[in-house]
Amino acid sequence: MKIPPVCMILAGGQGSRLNALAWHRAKPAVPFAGIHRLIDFTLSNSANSGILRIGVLTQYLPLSLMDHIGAGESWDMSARTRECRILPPNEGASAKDWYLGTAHAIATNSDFIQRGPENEILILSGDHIYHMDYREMIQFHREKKAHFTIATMPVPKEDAHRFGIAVVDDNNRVIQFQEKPEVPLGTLGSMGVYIADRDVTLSRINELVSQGKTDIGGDLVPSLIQDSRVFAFPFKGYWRDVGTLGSFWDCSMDLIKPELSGLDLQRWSMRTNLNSSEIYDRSPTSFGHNAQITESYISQGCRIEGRVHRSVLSPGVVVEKNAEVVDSVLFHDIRVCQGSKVFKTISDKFTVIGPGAVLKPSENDSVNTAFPDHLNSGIILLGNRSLVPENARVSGNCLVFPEVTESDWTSRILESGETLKNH
Amino acid sequence: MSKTILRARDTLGMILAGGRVNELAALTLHRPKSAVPFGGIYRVIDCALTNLSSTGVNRIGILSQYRPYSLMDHVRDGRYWDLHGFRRGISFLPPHTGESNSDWYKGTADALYQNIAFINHNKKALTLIVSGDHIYRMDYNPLFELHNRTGAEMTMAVTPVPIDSASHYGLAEIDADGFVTHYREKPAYPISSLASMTVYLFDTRVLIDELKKNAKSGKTFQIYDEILPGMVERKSVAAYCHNGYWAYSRSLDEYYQSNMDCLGKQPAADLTNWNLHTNHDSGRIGDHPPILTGTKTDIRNSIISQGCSINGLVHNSVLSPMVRIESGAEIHDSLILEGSVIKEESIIRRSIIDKNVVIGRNARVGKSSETGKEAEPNRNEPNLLHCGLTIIGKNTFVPENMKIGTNVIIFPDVQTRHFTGLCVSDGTTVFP
Repeated sequence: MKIPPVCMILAGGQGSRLNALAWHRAKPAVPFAGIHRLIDFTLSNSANSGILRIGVLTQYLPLSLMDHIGAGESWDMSARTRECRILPPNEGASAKDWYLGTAHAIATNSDFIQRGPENEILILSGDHIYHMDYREMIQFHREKKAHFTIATMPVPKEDAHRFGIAVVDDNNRVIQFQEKPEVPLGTLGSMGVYIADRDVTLSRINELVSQGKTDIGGDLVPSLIQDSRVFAFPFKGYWRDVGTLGSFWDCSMDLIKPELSGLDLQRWSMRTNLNSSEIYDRSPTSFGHNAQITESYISQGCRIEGRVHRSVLSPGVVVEKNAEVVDSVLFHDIRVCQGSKVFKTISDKFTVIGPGAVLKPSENDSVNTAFPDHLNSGIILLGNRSLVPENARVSGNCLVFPEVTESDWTSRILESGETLKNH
Repeated sequence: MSKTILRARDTLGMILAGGRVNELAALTLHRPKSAVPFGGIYRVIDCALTNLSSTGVNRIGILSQYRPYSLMDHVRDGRYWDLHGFRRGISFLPPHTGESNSDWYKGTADALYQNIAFINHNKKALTLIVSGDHIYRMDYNPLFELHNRTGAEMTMAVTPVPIDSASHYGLAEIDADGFVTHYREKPAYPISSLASMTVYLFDTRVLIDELKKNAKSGKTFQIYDEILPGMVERKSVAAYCHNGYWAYSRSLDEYYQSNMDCLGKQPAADLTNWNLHTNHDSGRIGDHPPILTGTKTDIRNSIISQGCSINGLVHNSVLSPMVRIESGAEIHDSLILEGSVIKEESIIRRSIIDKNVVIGRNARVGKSSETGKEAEPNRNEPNLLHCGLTIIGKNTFVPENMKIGTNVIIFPDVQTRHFTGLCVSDGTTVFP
């Protein structure tokens, strides 16, 4: 096979709708499926597709993403002929200005791209959950002699306005492209996976950026359609964008029923960095005499002495006697103390839920007052290293800020939609 | 006379990992005892490797002999125990042809003798010889302290054992200064209840002298037999007593028990606090995913490794990675190794099931301890298997509806055609 494309993973999105989960880390570093982080999907797909060079573009450079990716060794991408690296922002640009748009981000890294012999660029997003062998799409792109190929999948009509919609002819050639249209002309949605002819694309992007046009879907694709060969590669399979807490929770629940949902990490040959969060050296999970565990997804290093139902647990979670965890997603090293009840909660790492505390949404919960767009489906969100004190009562759509301590709780009750900050 | 204070950094570690150990029967048919899986995700040799590396001994030779490939694959370059780098390293030392007719290692002393060049090459003032076959967690630094303080030529580790089983071990009597005054290997009448752990910290110079002497005049070429007694007589052996958990695991029952010792609220083999390091990679493309449980799951008092998929009952058991328990199956008091599948409605009791075994639907394997108490011992190997366990070897396929009794050994690679009828009675062995 000819040299595979150089891969650029756009991992710069703010992830603002993931709220506290994305305040202290880059969105692609958000934990998912117990032991993984969101970027593991695109990294594993790339490594498993024989890609040799990967650049990860991210706006924030927190330690956790750099630690997680390292030199790519966890995905077998650290070797003489393979590399995987984080591409830092340009010198002199402030964080707010650097990432003007997806096309602009590619353009500012043209030196990394052009350093290699590849003729094509594989452009991916770092926060999508899917399994794909890119070689099929690469072959399609080459057979069609395309300048630009967009991976597309069928989307439900009522969701079409959230996607880039491609209108194609019988040959899969894209004749029209609408970015998040109010009136969609079709139901083939762009997955944010592109293969681009290197020279054609880079020169077009430079032209567009000089006109202030910086977005791949909104600017580059419509421009290329006019005079270049743009094709749509049809994809079928599980694909999710976990941009909101609701979709994050839904996808986490999909892990529990892989045959029904199609989200089957075991079949996907997923790899992660087992050294980050010390996943590697944890002992196997132990279940006590009174453990009750059903329909859940449990990582190593947990100790379960209570009830866990329909939940996803990262490593190191302790569920004490008579505690219950239901419909929840708990990150690493959380302690759920005796007698507490945790329902429909997403919690970041190292939180402590005190004895007898009850976290439970109900029918009439109001949306979160401070963040109505983020917390409105009942989910309770606990920020990292926060504490819910003994016998506290927390209702749906509540948010507890990271690092909240006992003294920040002036009362033990959080009514629905309330936010508790630290003082 | 004052000696230099010698520490872990002045020490070469040598792990005795060669033995097959017949007593573990079908489990050691394709692997040495040190490579036998333990505690879900570990192998027995992880104890010696973790103990040495956490003590600070960074240069290690592994004396391997019997079928070493799974061991070599597991240990690789030592990186999982932080034993890979500029000033650290692991070397495998299988039998090799030397200057004259070199044979299989004849014994522990012979194995070391044949590797004197390796020992000299590393130029360490001390050599710490440990068995790779035992299950325990220990910091060896107290041995160094005792060794320096007493000026002994060799310091060994001993551990208390119950007096009624003491005759199975090498036993030491120790005086008030910490020196060994008497040593007897498996004596009919126990002289003490302190058993040798096969941990020997030698002055390298003395070790080499002793090995050379033994090579000339030895018969059994075992350290405990031909080197230790002489040194004890000239009062140059000190002994440090380790009071923590130590499992010799020499029989099927002991091996089974050492896994069960990992269970419970305060387990004797406290895996959570031992913090053993191991190699999680087996050349798979993906990592083990988290444990998946279903609507029929009932897990109590058990250890479940990552990658398991459990939709049945698992009580008082230890499961290695990627074990699948299908709907309605029940596992009681058992040990199941990597990748095995127990199909619907099967019931497994007091069994050790090796890797990649498939137990077909509605099978019955093993018996509970009450029912199995008076069962006939295994007819082929009555001394090895009489305690009411059922052993199923690697890669075996047990057809659906089979009934397999207790004290049964099913050899590795057995398939449907090797079974005669739907029942394997107590004490039977099935060969491929």
